[in-house]
Amino acid sequence: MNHPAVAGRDEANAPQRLVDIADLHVGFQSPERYVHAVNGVDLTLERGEILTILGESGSGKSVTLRTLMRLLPEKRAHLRGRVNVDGRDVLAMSRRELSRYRGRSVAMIFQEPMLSFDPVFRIGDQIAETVRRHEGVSHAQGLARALELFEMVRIPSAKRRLGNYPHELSGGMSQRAMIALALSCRPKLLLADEPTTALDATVQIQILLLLKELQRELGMSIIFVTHDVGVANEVSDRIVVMYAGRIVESGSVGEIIGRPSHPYTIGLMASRASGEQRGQRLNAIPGAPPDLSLLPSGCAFAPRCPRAVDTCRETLPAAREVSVSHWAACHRLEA
Amino acid sequence: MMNTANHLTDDPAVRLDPTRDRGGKAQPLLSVRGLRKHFILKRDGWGKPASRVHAVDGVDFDVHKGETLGIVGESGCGKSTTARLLMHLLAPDAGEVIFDGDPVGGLGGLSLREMRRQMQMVFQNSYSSLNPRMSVEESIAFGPQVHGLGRRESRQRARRLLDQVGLSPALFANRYPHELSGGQRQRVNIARALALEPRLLILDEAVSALDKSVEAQVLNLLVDLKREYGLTYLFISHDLNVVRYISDRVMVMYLGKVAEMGDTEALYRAPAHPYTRALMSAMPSMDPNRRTERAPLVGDPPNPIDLPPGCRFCPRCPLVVDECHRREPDLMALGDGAHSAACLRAAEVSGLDDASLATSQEESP
Repeated sequence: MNHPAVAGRDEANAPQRLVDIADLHVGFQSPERYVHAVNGVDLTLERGEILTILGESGSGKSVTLRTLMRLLPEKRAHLRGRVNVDGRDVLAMSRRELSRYRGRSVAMIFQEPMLSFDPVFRIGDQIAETVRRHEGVSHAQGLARALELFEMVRIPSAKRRLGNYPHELSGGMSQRAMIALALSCRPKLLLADEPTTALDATVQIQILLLLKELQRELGMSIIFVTHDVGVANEVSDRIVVMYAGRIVESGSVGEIIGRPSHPYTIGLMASRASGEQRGQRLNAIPGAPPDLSLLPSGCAFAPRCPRAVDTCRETLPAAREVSVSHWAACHRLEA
Repeated sequence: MMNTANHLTDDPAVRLDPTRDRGGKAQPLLSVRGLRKHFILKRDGWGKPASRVHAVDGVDFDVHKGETLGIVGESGCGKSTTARLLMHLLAPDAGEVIFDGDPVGGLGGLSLREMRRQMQMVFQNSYSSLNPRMSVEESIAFGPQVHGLGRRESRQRARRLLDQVGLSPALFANRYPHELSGGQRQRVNIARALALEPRLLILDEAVSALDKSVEAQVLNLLVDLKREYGLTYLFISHDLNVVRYISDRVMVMYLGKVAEMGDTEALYRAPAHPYTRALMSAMPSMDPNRRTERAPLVGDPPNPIDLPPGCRFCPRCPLVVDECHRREPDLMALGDGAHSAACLRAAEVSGLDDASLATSQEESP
């Protein structure tokens, strides 16, 4: 898929971008079927930018994120396309290069913080160990860095908390500890895979605000993956919407939330329950997302789309400009 | 199984038709008084409880006939424990549950079996609540069969219900849970809950695990079914938007107690408990020009083990005064009585705007 943002790009500017993904395809082979998880994604990220990938389960948002970190199972996952981060080709990296790249250039936080820590070691020691391995300093220096990090992610009584075991921390606190661990080697890019989905509302907003503050303080870039439009609105500079392994719309927060153009994005916004629709039926999107092993030849959203015509079912829509920074992949934008 | 306290009639078809409305429209369908459940964590040398989780700590509420009562709160507030206590999946320590005038359990009351025919529950995890070795049709027909409906009739009923929840019986009746998507499984769970023709449905985070586009479909289904069968819902969720959409009245829980209760619109327009205020301003904004700048509360919800003296929201409350540490506030009516809050300063809070709440937070160290 060739969209205006790529077509009009000046090659000389490319190295300045932190992330440059072009025509990425990811498929998974299982004995019975081949699942097309990501189907031609083009994505760029400027330095210091917060980008959100918005999508539902099976949209390919997490797979795209994991590809940036090369976390997918090597044997089963088939990768095709270009993934450059900070001028380096991620798909061509050797194992040694990868272990240097992970942590220092790119780090990731997950939905379930407890799984990022080993339950039988103290949190402080685990962070110190990470710093020691990546930066070759002593354990004591690593611990000092861990304390610094705990203060940075605003964990109260940080010194005491370093001696805690993972199970002794509450949900919000362990999420902060995981952010500290991810930032321990000063990555340029932080990947966040639904990091607040399992948290309570009053804690979620604290973590979202913390991530925004840290981004400003450290000048890093963040790619945030979520299914929640509200969360996307709170954190992002730019949003891309994914459906069935493709980006269907891309624009600034204001453009996506305020003037969604792709019928899927419009449907997603309209189906949100709120107080205004009390007593009325919600405008739910009918049907279900397509089976990724049997993708239709045309637009994957066509079977559920109120605007679909024959063209939609036959040919894949190209990206079309809505405004300079806003595009959508739809044949029927004007309909 | 067949000889439980079932005094109605021997004809199974009639027996399954619940003795509908008894006390009339004005009598609450469900009345809960002083419901309490403490989980004991540790005991001392004498076997006495040394520390306990105050999961549900004296909760009173009514569910009126035909309404949807929403329960909101964060993890550990006791909303799911309340649901499980009502279904007697957990035995309450104390308290009374009255279903349409009949006390549940105990001598002369409604038997658990009878109660569960009138009251059914749908859980959050659509997969673990279905038996993986039963087809969808068998799962739905199981309840009616246990309650004495013939095998053929039960299956017919299952097929009719599948159709009603939007799954074509021809396609789905013989499928197994692992062959369905999350949304489809939740529809099956709803059909199964309806198979005994209950009057009250408890929905415990029933749509929370679904994708947004599927969630909207299931919410529409719930609204349709409610109208069609004259159901009453107890809708438990952490999602304030969904609760506002579906509920007639809302109850806000905090650490095992009711913090605030009232008609949905009144409560959302003028929340009277500082905790409800905080919960509402913690909702992610949907306006790119008005993003949240400051978190309304710091820290996590405390665990309900060591409760502070006085009001349990004290340690996190931006409006706390000395009196709050001394006295635990009861749920008190505000104005017309349809709206009540357990806060000493409730009358002031509902008049405040967000800005003044934020300033008072800054002043308090």
